[in-house]
Amino acid sequence: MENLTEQDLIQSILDGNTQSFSVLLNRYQRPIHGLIRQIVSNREDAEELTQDVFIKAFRKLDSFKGGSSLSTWLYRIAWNTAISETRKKRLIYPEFDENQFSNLPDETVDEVLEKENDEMKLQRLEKAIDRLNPEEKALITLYYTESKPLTEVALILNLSADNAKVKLHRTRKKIVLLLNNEQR
Amino acid sequence: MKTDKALQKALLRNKPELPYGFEDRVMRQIMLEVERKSRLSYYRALGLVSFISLALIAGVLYVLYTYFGFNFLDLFAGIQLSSMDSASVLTDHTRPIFAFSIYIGILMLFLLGMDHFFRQRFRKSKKD
Repeated sequence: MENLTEQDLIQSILDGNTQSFSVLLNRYQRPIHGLIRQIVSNREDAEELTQDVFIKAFRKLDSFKGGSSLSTWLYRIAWNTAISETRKKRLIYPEFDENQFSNLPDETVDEVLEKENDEMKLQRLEKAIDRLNPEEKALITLYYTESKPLTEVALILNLSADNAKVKLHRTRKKIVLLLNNEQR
Repeated sequence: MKTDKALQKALLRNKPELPYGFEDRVMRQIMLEVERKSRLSYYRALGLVSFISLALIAGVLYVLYTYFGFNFLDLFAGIQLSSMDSASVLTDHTRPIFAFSIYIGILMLFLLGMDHFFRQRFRKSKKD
């Protein structure tokens, strides 16, 4: 059953073979949880939301028409579930003005985000990531840890491909600005 | 876009782990969801059947009343519940409603019996 294709797996679940859902769960629970955990920060909330995502997916599986891959569809549910949760909390995230973004050269950003030999720097990077807004966190998580192409990231986050590219570019700069701010 | 190794490493360093038994917990919820769905579809079917039955009865009464001038209330008009001896209850006026009630009762029992019989057969064939 582990080797079933996405389409066969969905058909099997829709035919009433509920146990097939455990295969789907096994395949996607870690990446989905990883994305949600990055967005909501709290461990218990993330676990509960991951559970909600799979229950929602099970309920709506008959509406999945195969317009995208199953993983994209699941990530979309995860994103919508997590973002609804964070909106309830009305958290405020640091913002920078346009000048600060344009004054930061791309070469500096490339250099800062590329060199990985410093433990202190990695810790500071973690803190900076923590201060990003949910959309920025989701964007970099999907792009860097799940290795999703930008077109798919855009589909998951309901953005145009160009917009996703611009947002990723700005998020990278924002991380460096947050690191610089922390140093001062 | 650059590989951004440092950023990638920072993101991957604390990759969260799901607690032990998470999968079982979700599967239990899924099973409950399956039960809920089947219960819901049963009640929906029951509601639909009740609605259609009532609509049919209402339709029959309407046709009888409008096109045949048959008024059911006239049948009940002759019944006197104060006196319970069969001679006074079973008058020429009330006899048709009793006959009709007995007919409906027998028909209902027959249909329920048929329903039970076919359900048993369906369950048996599903098991085999």
